[in-house]
Amino acid sequence: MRGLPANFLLGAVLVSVVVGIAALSLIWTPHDPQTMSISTKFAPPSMEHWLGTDQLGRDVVAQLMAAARNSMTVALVAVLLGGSIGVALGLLASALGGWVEDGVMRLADLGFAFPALLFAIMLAAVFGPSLTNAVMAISFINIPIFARVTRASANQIWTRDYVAAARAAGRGRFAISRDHILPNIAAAIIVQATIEFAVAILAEAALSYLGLGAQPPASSWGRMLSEAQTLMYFAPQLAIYPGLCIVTAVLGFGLLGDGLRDITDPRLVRAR
Amino acid sequence: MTDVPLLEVRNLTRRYKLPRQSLLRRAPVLTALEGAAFSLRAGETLGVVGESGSGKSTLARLIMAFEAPDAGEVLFQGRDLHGLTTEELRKLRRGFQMVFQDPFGSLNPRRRIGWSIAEPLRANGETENITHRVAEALAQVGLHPADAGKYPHEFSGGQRQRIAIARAIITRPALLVADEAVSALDVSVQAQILNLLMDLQDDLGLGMVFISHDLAVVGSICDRVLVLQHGKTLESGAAVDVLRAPKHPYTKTLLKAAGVRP
Amino acid sequence: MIELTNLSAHFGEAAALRDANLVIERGDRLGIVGESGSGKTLLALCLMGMAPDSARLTGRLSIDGQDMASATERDWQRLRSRRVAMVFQEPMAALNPLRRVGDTVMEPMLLHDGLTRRAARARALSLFEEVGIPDPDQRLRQFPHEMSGGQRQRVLIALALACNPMLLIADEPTTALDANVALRITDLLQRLAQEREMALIFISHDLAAVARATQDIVVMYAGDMVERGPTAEVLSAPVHPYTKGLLGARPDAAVAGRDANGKRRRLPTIPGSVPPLHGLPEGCRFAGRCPVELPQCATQRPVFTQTDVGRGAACHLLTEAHHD
Repeated sequence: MRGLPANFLLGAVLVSVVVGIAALSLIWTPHDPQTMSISTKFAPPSMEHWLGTDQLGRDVVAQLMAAARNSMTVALVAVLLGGSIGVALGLLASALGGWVEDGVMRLADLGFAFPALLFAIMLAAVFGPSLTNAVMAISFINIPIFARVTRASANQIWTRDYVAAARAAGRGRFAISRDHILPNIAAAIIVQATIEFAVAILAEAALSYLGLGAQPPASSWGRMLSEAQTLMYFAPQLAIYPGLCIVTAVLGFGLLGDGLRDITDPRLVRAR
Repeated sequence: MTDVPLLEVRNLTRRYKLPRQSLLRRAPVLTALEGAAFSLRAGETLGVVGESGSGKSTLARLIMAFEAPDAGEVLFQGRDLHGLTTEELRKLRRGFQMVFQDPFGSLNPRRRIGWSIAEPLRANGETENITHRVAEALAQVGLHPADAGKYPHEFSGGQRQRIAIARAIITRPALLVADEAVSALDVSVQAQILNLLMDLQDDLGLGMVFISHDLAVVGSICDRVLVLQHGKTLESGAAVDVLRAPKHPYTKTLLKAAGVRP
Repeated sequence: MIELTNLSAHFGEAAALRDANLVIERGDRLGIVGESGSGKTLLALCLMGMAPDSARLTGRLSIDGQDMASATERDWQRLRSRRVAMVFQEPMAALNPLRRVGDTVMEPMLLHDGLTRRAARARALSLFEEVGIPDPDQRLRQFPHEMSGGQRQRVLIALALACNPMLLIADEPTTALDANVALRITDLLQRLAQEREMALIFISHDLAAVARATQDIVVMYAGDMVERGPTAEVLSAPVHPYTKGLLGARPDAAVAGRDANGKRRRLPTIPGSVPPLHGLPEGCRFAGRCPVELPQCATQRPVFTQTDVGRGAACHLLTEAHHD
């Protein structure tokens, strides 16, 4: 524990809290997040409702927990999906080189140029707004990011002597990518994935805020923010709570990714 | 006994296009190697001496068929390596292997050394008896068969070079290319590895191309020497002759730098 | 000038440097040779006050009579560059790629000596000339990547000389360079030491370079100074078994070729390898690899025996001879 950098430890703590709460919400919440009770709307914090209730009498804590679960799920699926495709493309580009590499990188450039929000709006316009479409949109923006990181890291490994030795042994590019390249770039990809997790959480919140993500009655921090907007003057806490959750989650994953990078950076490792 | 040489290199030339300096002029071309030629028989050792930019690494890559030449041929056991199909080349590769300079970079850090040593066998589909053959190779290079389960970082530089050599000989190749194989090692370790290479050569009847910037090292184990500078062959001949009576002033400088009194 | 008395450096229990003794005067040209783990680089860092924080130093180091045991980082900063300067191995890594080389060389002058920019530039220019950089005026404005390896090494030497140090330590200055460039750099260092009456410590595993540049030599093994003396003498008539082994293991191009049976001569080697720091033997650290095995080698650490003025080795063979 002592040798680990502070950002890693802090990130790990925050992430554990958020993920823990999200996981907990699968089996237990203080109340059903969707049960409305107009008579008890805008209730202040109490033993019954730890953070009070919102404008429809729904328990705030339960909503935050359910929203955490949705947020984590979206981020996980989006990063895994976009990441897998991106890594595969990056490995392909690096292994084949030439016009394949150029082509993949130009496609990645196109992907970068396309704003995720616009893509989500397009999907929503065609298929209707939904959580699935939000996942699709966020996956899409992850593909070029992972493709680029993978390709850059993989290119470095291709120049290593042990890869040349594998070529001399007669191994093909696919086998080399699987057995030599991938294990040695895993650290860089994991770091990137952790950071992208943070980005995905933020992206999901933004999309939900615009009404393009989780649809009611499903809970989402973004939507809670949007609903709280009109109530800013007499119930500002309804905006603060989800806002804090977003900050904690994004900060946690960001710090974790940063810390992981510090731990796995070969230059820093040597200095220690 | 065939009279086809083990390795024959004819008029080998390789050029690289450099990035453009200006939009209007053509991209400059670097001639990394020009007109290299030699032939090698089984059991012989050819030294290739040169410094950075001499073309010796390019020569190594062309012999190993990692790149194709712009002119000239590389004939291994009479067959032109660059005229083969991918599959034919892959099958032929078990006959020629390479030992690299950096003992720290030539082994995959995430794999046990037994796995790395056996890689040429797996690539050829020779999967029976792998453990036994790895143990045999380790013993041949002076390491313990039990070391197969360890990771590269658990070994010293000299030991890693031994592991790299074990990997290179496991398919019982006919030709070994050693690219600055001892340059990164301490003097006393260097001597051990050179002795090992000579022993293996005698035991296995290997032909060897030994690339180095150090004429003293080359002189101690090579039969013939090729001196390269800026891609061109300045001098070639029997090691004894080149070292005792160098013709080219560059060769003389190399000798002086190696501390050899000509 | 500079005096080391029984300087040792410990990492935890293990001694990476043991009882180093050295006296360095102006104009001395000393070579320190050894292989990996010999402690030669650590010794150089100690002389600059740059030993790693985790190293525990004992013994005495005095520079110009000042005992450096209680020296603070600020004390060392005053000495670095002005009294003791170092040239490192990798020329590219030691120069800031984003600064012009002239600015890099002028920095210590502006900082330590308080020169004006104009005066610093003039001195930098003369330094570039002194170290043999052609077109010095132009070169001052260049960036490191625009220069060749040899020129960058010359810049580093100029940087080291910027404040006229009395000792220049060159750590493997020729390893990353081509042969003829290495020769010229070696000759340059020797010439500079002579012309400036500066002390030079030349650390290298390249025995040929050390032979050219130095008058005296110290051979190190596993943290111990095992032999010392005039360079020519030690290299031609070594006394310590390790020195003999090291010199014998050098590839000898003079015996190229095969014998009557078609066999090539095998190089004499030192069996085994340098043990890791925590696995060093009790007694003499070379025991177990040494062709000589006296009973006391395994248990007793040999004392450094002087055979002549400035000549001697740490070996039980010598102590035995002295007793006879």
